[in-house]
Amino acid sequence: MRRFFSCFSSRYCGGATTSDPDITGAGEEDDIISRLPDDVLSSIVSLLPIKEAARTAALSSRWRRLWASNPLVLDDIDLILSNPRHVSAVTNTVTSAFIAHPGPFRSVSLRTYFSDADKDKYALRHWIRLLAAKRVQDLALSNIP
Amino acid sequence: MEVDKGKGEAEETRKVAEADRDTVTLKSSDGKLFEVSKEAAARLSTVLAGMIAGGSIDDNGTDLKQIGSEALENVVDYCNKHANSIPSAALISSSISFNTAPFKEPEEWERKFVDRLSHDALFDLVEAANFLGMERLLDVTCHKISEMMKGKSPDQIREVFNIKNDYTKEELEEIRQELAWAFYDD
Repeated sequence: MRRFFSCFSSRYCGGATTSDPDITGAGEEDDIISRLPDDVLSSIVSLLPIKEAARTAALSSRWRRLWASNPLVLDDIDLILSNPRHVSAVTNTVTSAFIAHPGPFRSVSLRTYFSDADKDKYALRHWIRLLAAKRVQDLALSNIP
Repeated sequence: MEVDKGKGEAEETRKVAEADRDTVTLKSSDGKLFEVSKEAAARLSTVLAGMIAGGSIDDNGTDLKQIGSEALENVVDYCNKHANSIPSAALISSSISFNTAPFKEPEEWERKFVDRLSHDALFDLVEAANFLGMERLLDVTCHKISEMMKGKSPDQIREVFNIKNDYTKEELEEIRQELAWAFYDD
């Protein structure tokens, strides 16, 4: 219900824009997405793959903290599919996202494979610690080679 | 629908009939009236459910002063379509993902429903869904907007939505450094 109570923060939203573009002071330059409340914008951001979500911080100052203001949703399949050969790049990105996001984490799905090697064990332990510290709600961890 | 209001008996019948009506009438900010399935409205909108339960539905058209006729028409259209749709198996079992994500993918008809909207109509619909507490419609419209952003650089996204970049060069550089992992192309 949080989203509901913050509604209609900015301007009148009738269907007048096509017939009277000048009434809203709008015209072509109208920033149509910014009239939405922050919590709706952060819901939109949370539907993006993690890297794209974080990159929205660069859009404008209004967007700076949005990606981190919604509980984190991360599925590393997006990273694996875009980068199937570089497992270390995927784990580095996941680690960076876990560190950069203040928490809580709503849903985290990880299927990066960890072997018995010490390096892998360390990385996995690091993730689990971060996940616990940032309060993860749903966690799916699958370790299949 | 005209009833002889002079007769007490007829009046009684009318009242009963209205309580049994399976639609409610909604009025947009510009005074247009729309009929919507009562069951679907109550199921899809927490605000309308509250109004129906609380008896604050006006048979001559419940005023929704914050919603223009185009957006309200889309809301009503969505509710009525939803009333007629059968939940698909896709909503219950998800194939690729682990099914931990709280968001459920839009169904085919929901996708088509938002795809035909102009930018303005889409954003008006998001605001209306938000106002009416329509979680599912909000999810579907937000999903559409996220699809419009997907795969685009910040510059391209700014262009699509006319977002004004109010950062200085230095600030932008600071953000890129802070979130280097997100900007780095693997």
